[in-house]
Amino acid sequence: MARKWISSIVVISAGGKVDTTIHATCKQKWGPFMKQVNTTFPLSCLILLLCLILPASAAAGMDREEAPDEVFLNSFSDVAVAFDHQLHVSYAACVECHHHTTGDTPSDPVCNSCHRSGGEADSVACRDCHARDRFGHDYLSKLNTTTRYHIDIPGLKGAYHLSCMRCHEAIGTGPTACGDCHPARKIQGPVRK
Amino acid sequence: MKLRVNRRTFLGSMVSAAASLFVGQTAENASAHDFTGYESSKGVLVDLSRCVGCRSCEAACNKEQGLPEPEIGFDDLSIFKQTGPDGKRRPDDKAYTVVNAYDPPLLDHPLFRKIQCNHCLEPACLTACFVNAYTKTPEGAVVYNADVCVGCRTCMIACPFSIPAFRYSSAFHPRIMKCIFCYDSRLSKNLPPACVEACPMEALTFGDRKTLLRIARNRLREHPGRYVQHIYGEFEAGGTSWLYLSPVPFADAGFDMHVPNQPIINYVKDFLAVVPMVLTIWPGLFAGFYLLSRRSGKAAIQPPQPEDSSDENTGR
Ligand code: SF4
Ligand code: SF4
Repeated sequence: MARKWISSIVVISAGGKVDTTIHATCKQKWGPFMKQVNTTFPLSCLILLLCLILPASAAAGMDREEAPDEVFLNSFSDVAVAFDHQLHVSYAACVECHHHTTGDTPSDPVCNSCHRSGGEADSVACRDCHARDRFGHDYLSKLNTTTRYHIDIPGLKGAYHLSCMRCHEAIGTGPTACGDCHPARKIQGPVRK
Repeated sequence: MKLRVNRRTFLGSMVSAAASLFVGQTAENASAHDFTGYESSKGVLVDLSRCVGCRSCEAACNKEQGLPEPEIGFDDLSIFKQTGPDGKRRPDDKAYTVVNAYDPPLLDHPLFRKIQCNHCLEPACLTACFVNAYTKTPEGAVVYNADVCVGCRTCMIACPFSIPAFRYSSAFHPRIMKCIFCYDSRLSKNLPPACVEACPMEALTFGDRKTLLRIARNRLREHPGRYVQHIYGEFEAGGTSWLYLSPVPFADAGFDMHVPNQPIINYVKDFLAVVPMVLTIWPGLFAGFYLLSRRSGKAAIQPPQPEDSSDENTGR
């Protein structure tokens, strides 16, 4: 559905472009077509304009300035893990962690095939998509349907660890040992080092 | 009328009984050949690219199964330097699962791999056990019944992954120790095993085996650079309930790449078909020989004389 919508927009805006560029030179050859285009010209112009404006505003996504400074991750324990959100905002794009939910174009090309211009999601909090109760009936039955594409969404705990540690390992900086984030944890690791 | 059995009809009936056993066996094997597991079979997908070697799964297993306290604590990562008889630690009677570290040439950090029973779709341990101590449940678990086990340890030799371990501490109560997929306490209630629930990295994903294969294929397709294009356990040993994805060739992570894709039973079925025949027919057969020799002795007919025992019968 979304894909159809996008392709129809592309066709219409292409019509508008044709009109503006070849108007003088190829009028004869394109005559019949031009006529058709001309009748739809104001409309296609309007849609073209909308097309240019809408994704631009969507691509801007959420306002970075409004992002929280610090986030306390306390879904699993009273001993919250303090996450310096502002620090991460200063060197990583929102999409690196928030996938497509901030309204920006996702960095992962796999996500892009569907979520290129999905707009802002109702919530950008991890816990609103990644279930805290990973093995609860609701979450499992949501994932385990034959018609669903996203059958492999990690739970909240998995999402945190995968997201943080994969990146910290890849860029070679940031905490990767258990005790770096969980002072109360017994295992102080240098895990995977 | 008294039924008279002579040697010819007796042996003839034995042969036909044995033949029918063979035929029955073959027919059964033929139908079992394409067995791809129970419809509702559960499994676990292990993603080695995610595992960080925290050993939370080992600790959770120890607690869930009431296993003895380990000598080296679960938070002591020096365990990865420890070696077993064949180089790496193996599951034993005190630990149903162990996590080992490997140093594959393609990675700049160690690779961790959790080892436990893979809960084969056609378990070699089960087929090798002649007292039927093993059961493959519809949920996918391969469970073991200590009450009937006679301690022959054939299952230990049969398992292509060397999983079943023997508890030597009690000579009178033979007991095989191996992962049972938390069947009693969890799987039978449709709950994930303790190790899966404990894993902070979701390196272990629990679900229907069929769904896990879809998930695994999705991961391979979406992140081709992250994995080698193989799902270990999809076909190995005839298919296993536990499946693996790896960022390096599986041989570099200590996997046995010589495990055949055929279920192990296909290699031993000819031999196994003989086992029930030996157990059921031989006692009757030799009892028959014995009776015949006595009866024919009375009737003054020479009994059939086995070549190697001829001197024992020379007095007759
Ligand atoms: S891995 Fe070994 S012990 Fe486990 S089911 Fe297969 S043959 Fe049996
Ligand atoms: S709990 Fe998960 S991440 Fe930790 S060692 Fe076990 S499989 Fe690896």
